[in-house]
Amino acid sequence: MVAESQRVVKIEIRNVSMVFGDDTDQPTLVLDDVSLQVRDGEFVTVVGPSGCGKSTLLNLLSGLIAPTSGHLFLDGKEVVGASKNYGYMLQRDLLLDWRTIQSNVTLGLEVRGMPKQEARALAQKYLKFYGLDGYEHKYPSELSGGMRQRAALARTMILNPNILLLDEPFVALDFQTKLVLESELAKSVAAGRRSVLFITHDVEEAVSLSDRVLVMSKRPGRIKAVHEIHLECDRTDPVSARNAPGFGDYVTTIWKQLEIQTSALDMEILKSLNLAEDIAS
Amino acid sequence: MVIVLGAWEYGVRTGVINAFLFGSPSGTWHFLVKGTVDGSIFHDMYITSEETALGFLLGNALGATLGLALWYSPFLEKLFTPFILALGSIPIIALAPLVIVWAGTGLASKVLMSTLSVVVVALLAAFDGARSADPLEINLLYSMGARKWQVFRLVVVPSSLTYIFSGLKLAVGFALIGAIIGEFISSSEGLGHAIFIAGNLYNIPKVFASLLATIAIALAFVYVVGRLERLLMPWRKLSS
Ligand SMILES: Nc1ncnc2c1ncn2[C@@H]1O[C@H](COP(=O)(O)OP(=O)(O)O)[C@@H](O)[C@H]1O
Ligand SMILES: [Mg+2]
Repeated sequence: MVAESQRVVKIEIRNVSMVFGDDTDQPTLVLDDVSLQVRDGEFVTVVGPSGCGKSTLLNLLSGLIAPTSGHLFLDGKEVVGASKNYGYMLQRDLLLDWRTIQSNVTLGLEVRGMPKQEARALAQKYLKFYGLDGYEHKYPSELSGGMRQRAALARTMILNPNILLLDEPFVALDFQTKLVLESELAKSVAAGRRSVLFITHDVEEAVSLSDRVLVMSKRPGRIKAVHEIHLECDRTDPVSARNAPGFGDYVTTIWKQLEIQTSALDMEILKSLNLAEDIAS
Repeated sequence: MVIVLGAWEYGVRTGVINAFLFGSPSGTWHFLVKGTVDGSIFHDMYITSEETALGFLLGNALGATLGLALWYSPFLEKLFTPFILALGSIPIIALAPLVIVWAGTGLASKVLMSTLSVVVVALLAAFDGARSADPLEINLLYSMGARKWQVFRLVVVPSSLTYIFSGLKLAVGFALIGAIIGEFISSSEGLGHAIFIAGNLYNIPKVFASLLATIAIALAFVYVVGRLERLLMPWRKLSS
């Protein structure tokens, strides 16, 4: 295996700061000198309290917005305007209402000019893999949230992206569905050589999936801690990861780092972080 | 237009109550039967429908294309917006004399009136529709490596369909108004002509008969647009 430090950097954020509304009388510093790197084949997760600028990080990488200062790179190329050629999943599945599930899955293939027949045949394989056979001719509005997010996963993975930018893709799902999709994501990532930047505020999800977890402070967001995660288990099985020795320690440590930031805030915010129960117990 | 139609319909009902002043249902019926038997009402309906249909198609095609193009090119948007707002604020009847001078007194002038009366509504609907496209969906397309014209075709145009179709429904009325005003100003046939002549002769029942025929045309157009909408947007009926 190539030493970690020699692997190519696929995703890089270099000294990025972001101020929203700098032309108004109340500019908000959202990101304060954030730097991070994701090397080839790494799964890196950013956790942090709501509003700390996690989604902003992803919006910057995808080129939706430009940073106030600093630089961003995808696959070695500096981000200028809309980025290209990466897998993109958000909390919202972004399925196009007017396309059937099948043609949502073939969307990227169509963009890349693959002949229709070939695209459909390939889509059929992915639909099957993600448990969507029988739904190919339905419209997104006919599917449950979990099914829709599976379709979004299929749409993402069919392009075999080597860079994945994921912003809380499973946050709106029930616990069971979430575990299943986490596992499917982990398998897809393990099968291809993919570099992943995953955003979540779910600490267990972060620890079970990642090689590295970065903890952000509350706004203005800074990277306040970095944890390399080493678990002796099958990392594509989120349940076995949760039962692996050491898992609990990572989770507790990271929670504490988040807790320092949130202890002064009210229960509403704790609830939104899914921490209320853990703190109550 | 719906309100105008409603007011006309209310007028017809009022006519039923005040038969002497506002014409009577039997008188209206008489003219409907007479027009049907001698075919004159169908002839007028055909003429007006033709003008309306052509104006509707041209106006919407032009308006929707321009409206979507304004999304495609911010430069065009800056260039055209003032003209569009100006054109939109001119009462269509004020253009009639010019149109007659330029396009004569035949079919072309009515079609042009109808087109002009539709084009701004269609343009604004299409432009609003294009702007309603979800920036995250657009971003998704770029993430797949799409070029701008692909984003336009695969996201912006489909997103704007809902708006374009509400524009189309409004445009039915505007197209009819344009055609009928054209006929009022100068013509020898069509429902607008029939209404104008009958009105001048205080032949109220014939006015109502022609109005009913006009409403029938509007309803037929709205029906066709509705069918087209369901045909082109099959996903819509599922989400409602
Ligand atoms: N386009 C924007 N304009 C102004 N403020 C924004 C914008 N996007 C995000 N923000 C603000 O930046 C902060 C961080 O937002 P976000 O990155 O979505 O946080 P997170 O994803 O960590 O919950 C929030 O306070 C939010 O209100
Ligand atoms: Mg967020």
